[in-house]
Amino acid sequence: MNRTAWLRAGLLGAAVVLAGCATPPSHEDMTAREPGPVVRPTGKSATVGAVSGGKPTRAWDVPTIEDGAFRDALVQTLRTSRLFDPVSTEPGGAYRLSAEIVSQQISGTFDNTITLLVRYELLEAGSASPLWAGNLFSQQELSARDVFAAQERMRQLQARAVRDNLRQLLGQLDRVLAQR
Amino acid sequence: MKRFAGWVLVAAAAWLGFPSVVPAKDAQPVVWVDKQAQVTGRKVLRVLEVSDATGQSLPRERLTEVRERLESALRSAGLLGDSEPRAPGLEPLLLETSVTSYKTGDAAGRWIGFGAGAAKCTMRARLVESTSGRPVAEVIHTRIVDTGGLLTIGADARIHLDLADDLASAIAGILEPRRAKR
Repeated sequence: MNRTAWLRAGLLGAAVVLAGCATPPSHEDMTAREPGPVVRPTGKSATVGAVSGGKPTRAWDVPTIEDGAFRDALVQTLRTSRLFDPVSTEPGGAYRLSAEIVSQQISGTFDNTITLLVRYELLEAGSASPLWAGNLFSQQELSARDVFAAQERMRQLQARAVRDNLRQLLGQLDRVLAQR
Repeated sequence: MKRFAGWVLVAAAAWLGFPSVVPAKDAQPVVWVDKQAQVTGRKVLRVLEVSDATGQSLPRERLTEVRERLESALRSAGLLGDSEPRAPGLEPLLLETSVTSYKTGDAAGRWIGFGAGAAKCTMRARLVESTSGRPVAEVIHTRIVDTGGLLTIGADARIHLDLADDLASAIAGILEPRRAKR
């Protein structure tokens, strides 16, 4: 094997290893910029509390939705919707919203389906019992045609599911708060 | 030309690489149970009509078959329809089920493998209290038949029934965890 062949083999190996390192979907991709349902601004502040249940992405595995990125996407989506104003992660808001990612299961080989189930809880300041709590389910599919998007397809799948879930959340919160 | 082909190969391998070959994963039922509610020892009073949330107008008889299958499995497990509450003071439960996705696929495609021609079905079942309507548990499960080629002819006609069995088994595991572990 001459030097060029060794170089090529080395580059091939390095490129495959680098491409194989998983990175999680970003909060920008998961933010629902177009809220979908028209929401009625409450004019009240909200604190986005803890998000739990997410999993850290391991370099050698498929990407996963992480708590921090989900929380940032939730904050950005609420800000964009203007349902609450302001929206912060600092305590002291008139409402407090927390979330638990119950499942983010991906199944299938090349024809993937994500099952995203998130439990949300909305509390009013000073109240111990939730104003609303519920599970929102999102399911997204990618076809085998998307295989050429490599690892990006997993991130797309997860980001689409989160955006759908956050849109459902906005609709649900709007209904709950409109009844008050 | 040969050199160019070599570099194309490097780029293609990097792009497809490991991440495009996700190991086949059999979906496991997603189970959520309200930590504040006592679920163990309760019974299902009634299995409600199964709803179609796929947006593709499933045949009515498929939905009925799912309901009947769930009913039958829960009855066999002794978890259905008992006027006597098993746990005093606790409301009996209703089972709300919806089909959220249903794809028949095709057996010839499944011969190719790699997910081509896959038959897929997902259902969501929620246990809600019969009076208050409060959800106390839910199970979501996806069944996929994506390999086996012509041996899987008819998989699309069975997949919803197999999935109903999986759901019933998961529900039994929620209501009777000790028996399910045995």
